[in-house]
Amino acid sequence: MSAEPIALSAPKRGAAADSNDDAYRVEPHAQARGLRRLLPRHRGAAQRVAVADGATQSFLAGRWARRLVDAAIETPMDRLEAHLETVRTGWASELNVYRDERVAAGRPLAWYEEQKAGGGAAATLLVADVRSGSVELASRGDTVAMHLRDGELLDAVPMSDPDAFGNHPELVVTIAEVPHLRRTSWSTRPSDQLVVATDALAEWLLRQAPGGGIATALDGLSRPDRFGPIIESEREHGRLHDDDVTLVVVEL
Amino acid sequence: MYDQFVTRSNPALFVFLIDRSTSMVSNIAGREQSKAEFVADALNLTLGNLALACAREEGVRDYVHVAILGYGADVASSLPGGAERRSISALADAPLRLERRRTLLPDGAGGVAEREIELPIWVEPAADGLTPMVEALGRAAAICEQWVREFPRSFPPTVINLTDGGATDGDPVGAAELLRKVESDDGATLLINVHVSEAGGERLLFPVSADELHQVDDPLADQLFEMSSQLPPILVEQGASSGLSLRSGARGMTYLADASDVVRTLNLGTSTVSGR
Repeated sequence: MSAEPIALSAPKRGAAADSNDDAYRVEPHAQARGLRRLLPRHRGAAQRVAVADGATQSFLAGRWARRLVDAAIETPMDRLEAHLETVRTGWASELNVYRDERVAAGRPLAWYEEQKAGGGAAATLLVADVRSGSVELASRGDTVAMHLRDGELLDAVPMSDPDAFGNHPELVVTIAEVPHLRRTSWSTRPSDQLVVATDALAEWLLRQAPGGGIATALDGLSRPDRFGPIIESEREHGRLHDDDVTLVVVEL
Repeated sequence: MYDQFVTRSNPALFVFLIDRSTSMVSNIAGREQSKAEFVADALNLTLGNLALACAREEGVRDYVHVAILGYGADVASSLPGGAERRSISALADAPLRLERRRTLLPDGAGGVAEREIELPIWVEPAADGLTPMVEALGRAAAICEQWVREFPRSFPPTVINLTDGGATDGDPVGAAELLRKVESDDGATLLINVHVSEAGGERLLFPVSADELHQVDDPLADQLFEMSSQLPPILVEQGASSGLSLRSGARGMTYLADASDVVRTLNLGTSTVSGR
């Protein structure tokens, strides 16, 4: 396992990469390795992970997921809800910009797009603030954070039961005030791992948990050249739901 | 069985059979609107909801294909242009027109509420002629057979028959049985019968056993029960989550359905897609 954070994502089967409604950011990210070395954890430098899973049936779900992730990555944990609410209230004007762009492109919104736009956009959100010796989590919905030590699953939030996933997760939506996010803190040791996965992959990983199977699964999944083929194979065998999937692994 | 996830490579097929006989001109129970007009509205709303359920950022994805057969003076496709089957994206991009309408919409809690919406219109009301339901069921079976050859792994076809009376061209029970024998790898074709009422009276919704038919004492109810599929668990669950009290083993049948029942049954029958 690399000491650098790993972030991988794949769209639904046969879908173009730009139709992936999952969004993620890890800061400092893998390309900024030098920066991480300059900011050792004992000086209090945090690493931030944000993952959002756009509800595909809602309008501009991927765009909303990206807005949430961009907002969450740069905001102090104690001001998350307030900042997300500001972003949410700006969504209407963003929608108008999109509407204008479509008119300018000669493709005004169709009747079904206008009706869907009225219903708003929705996404899950999970934010992890990683510091030396601790991880603070804020989340809404069924994107899951897992805490691993020596390959064993110590905890998973908001759910650790693979049978608990359903079709109606809680969401951050553009048409209602941003609610309080669920908060959790973990005490961590060096070489513990934080794993964040969107619902389909989280369910799949949690099914491997008994007997330390998550570590084995991650050994393959976290290699960029193996991620796509494993996802495809598991979908083909009916063991993984055909959904956008995102995986972030951070060695603590 | 009945658990195939609906995707573009494994899309769903909905076949709507609409009674267009002369008797459809009288008002439906609970509304100042003819049965023909109400059924057309409800069907247009259902098609619109299916399009919305399939709409994504880049347009409408073809998770669904649709066939609509009207039966009255003749048996013919009621899709724009007379096509036998259309993809949901082709329908979504080309309604006949958009109309502002007050109509009944599911309220998400098992009931319905009247709201004004911009309703896309694909199907026009009509009421003329007899009730050649047997021929319509046979045509539906041919459409479904072609479908399962093209998409053998898909969730099986769902056929929803909206009628206000008995067939005038023979016994529909045999034709319904042949239709229900058309199978994909995921199960047999589902036939849901919606009997729309002008009079109101003792309604019978999603009965489980033939014993329940005694309360209405009408051979037509017995016939509809024989014709209708047992609803698979996924639809029973969808019904429960939308407030319909469906029991395990329920038949896809509503007898003397009023306007609200028609909307709820169409919503249930298409919930394999729109409920996701």
